[in-house]
Amino acid sequence: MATIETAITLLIFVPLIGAIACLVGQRKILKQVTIMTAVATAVISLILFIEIAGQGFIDTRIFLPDDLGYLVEIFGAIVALTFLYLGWRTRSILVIAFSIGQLAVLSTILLTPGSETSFFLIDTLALIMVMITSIIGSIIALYSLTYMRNDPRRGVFLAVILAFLGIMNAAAISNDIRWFDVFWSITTLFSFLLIGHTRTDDARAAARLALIINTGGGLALLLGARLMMHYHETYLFTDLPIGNMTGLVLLPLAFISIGAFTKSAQLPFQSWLLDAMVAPTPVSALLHSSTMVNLGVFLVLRITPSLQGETFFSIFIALIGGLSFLITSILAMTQSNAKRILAYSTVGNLGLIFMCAGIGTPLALAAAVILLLYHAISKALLFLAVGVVQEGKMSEDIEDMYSLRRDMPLVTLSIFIGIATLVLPPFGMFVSKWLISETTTTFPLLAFLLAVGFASMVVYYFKWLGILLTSFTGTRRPLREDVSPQSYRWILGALSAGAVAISALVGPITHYLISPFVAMEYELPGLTESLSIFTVEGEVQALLILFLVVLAILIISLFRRRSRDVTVPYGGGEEVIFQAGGSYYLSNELVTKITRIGNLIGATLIVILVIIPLIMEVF
Amino acid sequence: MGLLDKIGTKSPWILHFDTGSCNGCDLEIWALLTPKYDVERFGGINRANPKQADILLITGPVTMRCEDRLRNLYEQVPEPKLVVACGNCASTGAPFHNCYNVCQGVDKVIPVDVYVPGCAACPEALIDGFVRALSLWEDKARRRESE
Amino acid sequence: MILSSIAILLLGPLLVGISMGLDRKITARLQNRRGPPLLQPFYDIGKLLSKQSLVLSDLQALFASFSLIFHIIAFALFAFGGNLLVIFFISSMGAIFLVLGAYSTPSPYSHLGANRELLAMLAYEPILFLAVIAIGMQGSFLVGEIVPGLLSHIPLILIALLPVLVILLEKSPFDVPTAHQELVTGPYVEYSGPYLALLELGHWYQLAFVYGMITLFIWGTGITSDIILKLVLAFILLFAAILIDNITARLTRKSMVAFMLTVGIGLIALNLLILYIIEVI
Ligand code: SF4
Repeated sequence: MATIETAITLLIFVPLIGAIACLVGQRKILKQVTIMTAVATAVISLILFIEIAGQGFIDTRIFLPDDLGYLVEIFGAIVALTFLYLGWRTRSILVIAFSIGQLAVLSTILLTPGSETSFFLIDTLALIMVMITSIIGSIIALYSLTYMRNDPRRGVFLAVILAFLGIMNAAAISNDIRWFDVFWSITTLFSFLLIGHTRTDDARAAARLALIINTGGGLALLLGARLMMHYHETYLFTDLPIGNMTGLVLLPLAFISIGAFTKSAQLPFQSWLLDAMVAPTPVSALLHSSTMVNLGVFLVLRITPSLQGETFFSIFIALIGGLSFLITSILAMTQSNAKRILAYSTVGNLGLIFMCAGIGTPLALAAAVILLLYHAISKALLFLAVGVVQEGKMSEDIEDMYSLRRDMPLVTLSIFIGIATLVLPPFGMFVSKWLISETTTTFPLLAFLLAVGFASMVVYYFKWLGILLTSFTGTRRPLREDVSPQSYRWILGALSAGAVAISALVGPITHYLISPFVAMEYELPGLTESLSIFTVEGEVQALLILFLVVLAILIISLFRRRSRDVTVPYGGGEEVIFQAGGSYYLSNELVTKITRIGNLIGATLIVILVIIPLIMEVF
Repeated sequence: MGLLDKIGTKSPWILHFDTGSCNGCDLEIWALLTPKYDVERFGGINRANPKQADILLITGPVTMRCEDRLRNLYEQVPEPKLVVACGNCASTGAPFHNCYNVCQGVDKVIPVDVYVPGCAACPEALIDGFVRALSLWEDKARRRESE
Repeated sequence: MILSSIAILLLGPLLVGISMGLDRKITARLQNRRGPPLLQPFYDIGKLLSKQSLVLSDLQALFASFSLIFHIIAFALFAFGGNLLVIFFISSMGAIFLVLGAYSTPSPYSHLGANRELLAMLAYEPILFLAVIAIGMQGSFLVGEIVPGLLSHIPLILIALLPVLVILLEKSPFDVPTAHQELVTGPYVEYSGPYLALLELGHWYQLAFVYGMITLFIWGTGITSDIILKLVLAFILLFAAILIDNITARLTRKSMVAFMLTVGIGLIALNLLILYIIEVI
């Protein structure tokens, strides 16, 4: 127990101390500090994992002194005041309004303290979040060391990134919504700082938009917290009543969900995440795909037990998620900027998670957590790879990546692995895709959203991958002679290996990490059977796949040995010099139109989400 | 491999290339695909793609401009491959003999297996040439293996 | 049980091969020709295997084998009574590797074909997916546990599968990816010899899965009547596809996607709606 407590404390404070050192230290110690902090964080999180695994993945609660609670809330007020200042600086009435609202709600929260002691809850979901943040986050911190090497304000950048890791860890284990809100607001602040880091006009505008939407979301979350106290007399997620709520008591959950939608950039709030892609790539990888935006879905996963039995309400959460997935998948096909494609697909994947949380069956919840985990790794890998390409080719456009395999085989391989683990069976995401699809039988409308969404996902990913892979036989450099810098190659290699390994381990991970979380919510002992691919029928499948893969390798080796002669591309007899162009299918007007329609439907759904509890109360 | 080579004669895929003919022979070749002559009886279909073709039906005297193209296409056809020169021009350049801009026959550019005479070569003669070319198939395949 | 599974695994693609021969024969008869022998597709594969391997890109061969392998795995899972969703995902992986193989060559026609193949996938995958979901809603996703009665419950889905079959058979009006008049043979353009044979075989296995799904709709009382009914149903759909092929011209890719995503999905939605209403009443 003591080890866990120390590890948790260290996981929060080590990155923060590293951040302070980066801020105040000299330029030349930056490198050592960052490396040390990152390695320490990763190692501590591993120790934490081993410790918890040793205890059989039971939930750990760390109780906190009450005085600390006041301190944190005062901290929250300071953050809100900072927002107020930023609102004034960026000339944004909305931010000012939101932050004043936040301050008002905060003060009423201060006046109505909860009766129970708050505690940190480390269940497997929190553990997964902490592991993602600490390990992937550390890798990304190391990456930004190289990526930002020519930046004059590198120290600030690294400090914010490191501090973010600590805050993220704290948020993931908070069980008290007041605490959670404070950490959440701090991530909003960091996100604002990092998006605006380059200080170009685009960056400023994007940062401002992110600030507006996220302070709005923060206000919704705080309102939710206040209402939670009002209706349920608790600030703790674990003390929320389970299931079968109707009427006004659902109102706090509606507000909390709205907060979650803004953070996870669901329709109609997706624009901030798309614009945030102007930020340096490590920021996109860390905050805007693998960790911070996960806070939203994390929050909804925390409240799903309360939504049980009340499908009429939760189905709207599922619909918003499903809609986000569908619309962003379609829009991603029309993009040629790799980062923008990834941003759209991030929104889409988070939408999928919301959908699962909204459906709320055990299978769906398992799918949600699997998605959360695998999406984080693969997306981080993809973003980092795009960052490397961007540095080498000075472009993020997928058309400029034509025949990337020739010069950057390793980077191409990691993009391949990233996409494969996101889309193709038998990797981790495939399992969740499968589970999601099975769960839609309870609500077929969602299956229609999924059907087109999945197909579009295939189109936009493989269109991109195809362009990368184009090359003549024998023109490719050997893997180890990839032209990108050495440190990048190590990082990409490590992440790719990690992504593959963790995909291969999907069985145990589901069994040990995800089933306990789902079982905790549902108390279903038999659940693990239905999840595992090691059932009787699953065994046949597994054996068969194994057998056929062996066969496959035999066939391939047979064909490999055959002598192959190289020919020229067919061009009706002409010599062809070919440069791939993309096909994007939809015109710009159509893209605007679809976005507008999506936003409209999304906004309507959100309004409905708030109205439903009122209606229920009346009838 | 013997069996596969035998099977090969049952599925000759065609590439038809016009190297500057008067279109007379082309029309006759297209007639092969019509109900009346129907070379699909022998499994032949027009793939229009050198990479997947087995028999090249070449018409025309091979103009200078076509020379490189013809060679390019020929090189893209995987072994074993057969070339049928269809019509007088493809065989010898006849009507265009000694013209300043022609190579005077397909065999000046690529090796030819069967010559089908006629101006234009009638469909029956073309089918005859086609079938004769097929009889050379096994030979070619065997020679390729021994190499 | 295992024996019959193995029998299905081996016979499935054989039957598909014969159906391809039948297809060419019927098409020829419809055009008043004699047409090739029934076993022509097998001759074609044999010949392709005996030819020289010419490639542009070293990935081509790899992806062609992958494509075949995943189609085989998908169909094998089907034969052994696996989960339809898994089969569907794995089968779509085979299709994806065909596309990647086409993309891996620096050739304009191949790229155009690959783009269009992706678009074709965008058109038919949702329908297949929804058909699978609809079948699953009738009881089970496991092929081995599917109960008779699909035809009476979800007949419209069978109709929605017809255009899918048309696309997969590369027939007009939806032969958009292979469009042999303009794109030569689309994604297959740079493939020759044995690798083309691999892709062709993969295609057979893919079709075997789709035909297999179609045969799930009908059940006979005894084993003989069962087999006959299944074959007849598959043949009816094939014949319909051939007829459509011979009386229509190719549509644009846009209209293909639009047709599938409106009419195809509409049919499925209608069917599920009717089922729902019946249930409620
Ligand atoms: S042989 Fe006669 S008919 Fe044939 S292409 Fe030459 S000129 Fe025309």
